[in-house]
Amino acid sequence: MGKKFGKLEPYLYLTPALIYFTIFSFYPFIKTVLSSFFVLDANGVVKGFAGLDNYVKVLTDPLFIQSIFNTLLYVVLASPVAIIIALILALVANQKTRTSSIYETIFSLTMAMSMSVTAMIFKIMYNPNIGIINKLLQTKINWLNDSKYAMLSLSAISVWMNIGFNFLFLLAAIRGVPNELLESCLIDGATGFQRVRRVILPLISPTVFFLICNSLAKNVIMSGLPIILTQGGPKGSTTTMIYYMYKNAFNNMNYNYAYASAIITFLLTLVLMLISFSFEKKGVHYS
Amino acid sequence: MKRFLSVLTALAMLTVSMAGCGGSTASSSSSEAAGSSSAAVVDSGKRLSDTDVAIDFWHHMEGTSAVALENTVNNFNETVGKEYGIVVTPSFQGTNTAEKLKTLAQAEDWGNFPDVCQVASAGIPVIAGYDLLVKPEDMYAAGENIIVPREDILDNAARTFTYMDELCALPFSNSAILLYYNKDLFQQAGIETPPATIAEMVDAINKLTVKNGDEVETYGLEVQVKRYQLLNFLGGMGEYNFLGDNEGGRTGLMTKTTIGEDGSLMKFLDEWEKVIATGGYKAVEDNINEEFAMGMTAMAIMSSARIAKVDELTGGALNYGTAALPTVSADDKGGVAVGGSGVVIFNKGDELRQTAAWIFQQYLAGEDAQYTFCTGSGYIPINRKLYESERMQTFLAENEPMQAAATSMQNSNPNVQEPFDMVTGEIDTIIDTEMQNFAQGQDKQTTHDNIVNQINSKLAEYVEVNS
Amino acid sequence: MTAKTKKKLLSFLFQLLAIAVGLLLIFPILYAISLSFMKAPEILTRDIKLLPDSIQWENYRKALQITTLGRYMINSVILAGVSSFIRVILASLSAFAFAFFEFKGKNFLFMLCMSTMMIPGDVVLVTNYKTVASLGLTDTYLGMMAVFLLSVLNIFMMRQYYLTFSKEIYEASRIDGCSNLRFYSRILLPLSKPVIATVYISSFVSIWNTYLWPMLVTNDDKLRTVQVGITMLNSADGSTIYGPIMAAAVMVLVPTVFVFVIFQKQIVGGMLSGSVKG
Repeated sequence: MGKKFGKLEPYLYLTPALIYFTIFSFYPFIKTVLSSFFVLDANGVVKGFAGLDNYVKVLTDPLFIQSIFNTLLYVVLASPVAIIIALILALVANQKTRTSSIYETIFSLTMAMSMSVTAMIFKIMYNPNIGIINKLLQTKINWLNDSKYAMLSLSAISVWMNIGFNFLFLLAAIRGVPNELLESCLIDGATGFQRVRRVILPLISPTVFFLICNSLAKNVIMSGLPIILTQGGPKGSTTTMIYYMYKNAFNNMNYNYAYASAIITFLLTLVLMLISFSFEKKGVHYS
Repeated sequence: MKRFLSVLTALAMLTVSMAGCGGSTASSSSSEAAGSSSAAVVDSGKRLSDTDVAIDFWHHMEGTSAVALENTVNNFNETVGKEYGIVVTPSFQGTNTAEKLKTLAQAEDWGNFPDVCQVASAGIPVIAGYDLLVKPEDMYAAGENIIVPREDILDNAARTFTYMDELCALPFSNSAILLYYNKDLFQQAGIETPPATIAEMVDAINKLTVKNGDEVETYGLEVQVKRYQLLNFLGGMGEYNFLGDNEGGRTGLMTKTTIGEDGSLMKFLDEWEKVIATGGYKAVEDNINEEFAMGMTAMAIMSSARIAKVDELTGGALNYGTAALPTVSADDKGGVAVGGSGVVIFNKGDELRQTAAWIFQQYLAGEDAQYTFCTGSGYIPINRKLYESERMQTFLAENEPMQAAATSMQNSNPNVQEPFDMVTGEIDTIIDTEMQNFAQGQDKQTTHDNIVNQINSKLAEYVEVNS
Repeated sequence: MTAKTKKKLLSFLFQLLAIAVGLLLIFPILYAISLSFMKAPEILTRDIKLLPDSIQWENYRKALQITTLGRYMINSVILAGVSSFIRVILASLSAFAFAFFEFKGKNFLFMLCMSTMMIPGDVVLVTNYKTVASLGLTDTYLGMMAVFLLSVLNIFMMRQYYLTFSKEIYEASRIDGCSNLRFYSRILLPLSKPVIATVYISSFVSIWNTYLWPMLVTNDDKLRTVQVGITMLNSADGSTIYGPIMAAAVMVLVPTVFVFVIFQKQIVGGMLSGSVKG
């Protein structure tokens, strides 16, 4: 094999992926970016040049500003909790026992549920009068229709759905940690936590890093739960940035607002992602 | 790795072969049907062509309504379809067919448009802009192949699908807003007839509400006042109320709402304030059907499309009735708007298919189809002749909740309609939020001004880029 | 009590606790199963009611009567099964490049790929539909799969895994005259079973649960997927009839659980020994 091929080789392996992303992600997205600088009518037809007008309008819409805070709140509520619970479960499941394959499956099962079915189940569980949650807690909280609780309730659903996914990846990672190290750290209960921190966490840090990036991206562009359960209300308290976009694009056929808000969301995610990656060198140990 | 690759190849081949079969299923099944039926039927003289004409019908019916729709289509294929040599294949396209059409239209993929499509009335102005749309207005004017005369369709149901003075769709699955009331609870409270006005409703709420200390055990009324509910309350005021300029967006783009300047909104809020003051009014719908079915609320205001659902929930055990939506003042006689969906047809460049689609479109609004579909699903018939028939009268006599719905629809003024307000989603959010605030103590004037101003500013935004 | 029985007892209690926690976690699923056996009036009660009065299959019968769920399941298995398989291949190739090679623009290309994760699906929907329609792929399985054939998440995950892979083995195999592609197929992939299994499971599940795209690119009822099938069980006005929907949801869960059980063995069985780790 020539030296030239050696240089080209990695690009060769990347070609299928890059072609695919170009067709189904970059091309449509760049089209959207360009469109966001124009005035579009309800059929998506260009009516004139807008410059930054669309962005100015979106950024001065109080509901959009509210949606930025809602989105950040949702990320803060949903992302870390789902990872921490999953980590604890993965540590529990790593201990091989006669029945471990049973609870391994159970722990990961929450990811198997589709968003729509999960939303339906939680909707009836959240019902203030006939729902099981209020009955068990002896409370009278209106989980989805009270602006104080609505976002919390949605993030609880998201945590629940993501536990399975996070667990699965963390389990695979912990299973990769040499056994001797783990056993010694679990038996020695007194310093167990410290050993988890010093031995296991560094070794599984690549996976944890992956899960953090994944949940950041997923949660910032979340729209499914408000679409199904709350329609962004009550009083805009569950309007996330992408729900805002969705509503403008699909309900109001206002692509001017929709595209501008989508791109602002993209930029926000990008910033969060770049911040995460700046920690990669420091916090993630690959060997 | 070899095994890996062989599995991959096998899977890839499977995909390709299944893809092939997937792509051809539609045509093969319809041609099969065509073959069998054309052989079986003697030429009735009406046949459109020697071979059967196959057309697609997109719909968004779910659950029991989907079953009723399948039955209706099967009836067509076996009767009128056989006479004319038409075979209709229905397919479910998600909860909102208009959204799928919109995506196809924006992608300029006209080839994948169906011959016949069920669409919600709010989608009419957009669909009226598609070149492919074949308007019943023109088909009736041409006067060919008419199997259901225009006069048979209720005027108000026809007007629901009329845009710029042209009939764009024929009504099919329609409903009206209703007051549901629990007869047992009414009896316990000593109320004989359901309230006809909001003022009477206030009295009823006071009698029906059961409190246990500070906690309400049974609410007198549950309804979350959003766009649908508010516009129905306002639309029936006086003779009728267009709610917006250009006849509520029917003769041109609606550029502003008139509910502020004509005082109708304020009049409603005056009355509604008394409802809120009762303390027995539940302003948030959590699971309204379920709560009404359980007897947690004595009255509920919702679409007639939910009659079937309430029956299903209780296994028919709940003793309840329905009545016309209470009016804002005693002398209002406009009635309520026709809700639900109609059916449109598209010209796909094949005259035979277009004719077939036209015949099927009419069939769906005709007596037989409306009877089969409505009795099976809980929608309200829109065919005038059907109401005169004995079978419908028997059915209504046996299904009391449906009777009130049918009466309410038949008695309403055709000018009472939900407006074509284009930014429907926004308006829904605005009204919902403000009415929630109102229920929680926001003052009347603020509520009024917020609703009017915010709606107008959203409308203005739409008009700015779309006129 | 000897130390051994004590240890056994502790382990027993530990397992019991783990399973109890697990059952608590999947309470919503268990509740859904319970609802699927309840008659409508049983669901509507002011008291706490966790179990149905009796096991009755009416809801299942109804769900199967209204939809052709069996057919939809086959469609979904093909859609999710094949797409996930292609995902694993494409993702592992790209991850191989990102993890084992140094080349110009590597970081840029990686971030470029990562950026696809931040693009909301709704934004690219219409253009992607246009692309797929212009390729004549509407109403085909290939069209349904088109947007699911690769996810940067999978590339990212596999890259993370490969980066922990010992560089010494790679160097050694290179010195032995093993080509890169050979190393990839003979050494790297077989040793990546746990990550392949997790990527496969996670992408299978996420594709299995998609609704909008498969419905958009197909018009024929015969090509519907399970999630569309579940929606068909809603009643008019978007209100929910719980029994049949829960029955359908439970039936739809079975194949995914099946995939879980099969592939989870790989995660367990494919443990890396300490020597592979650097």
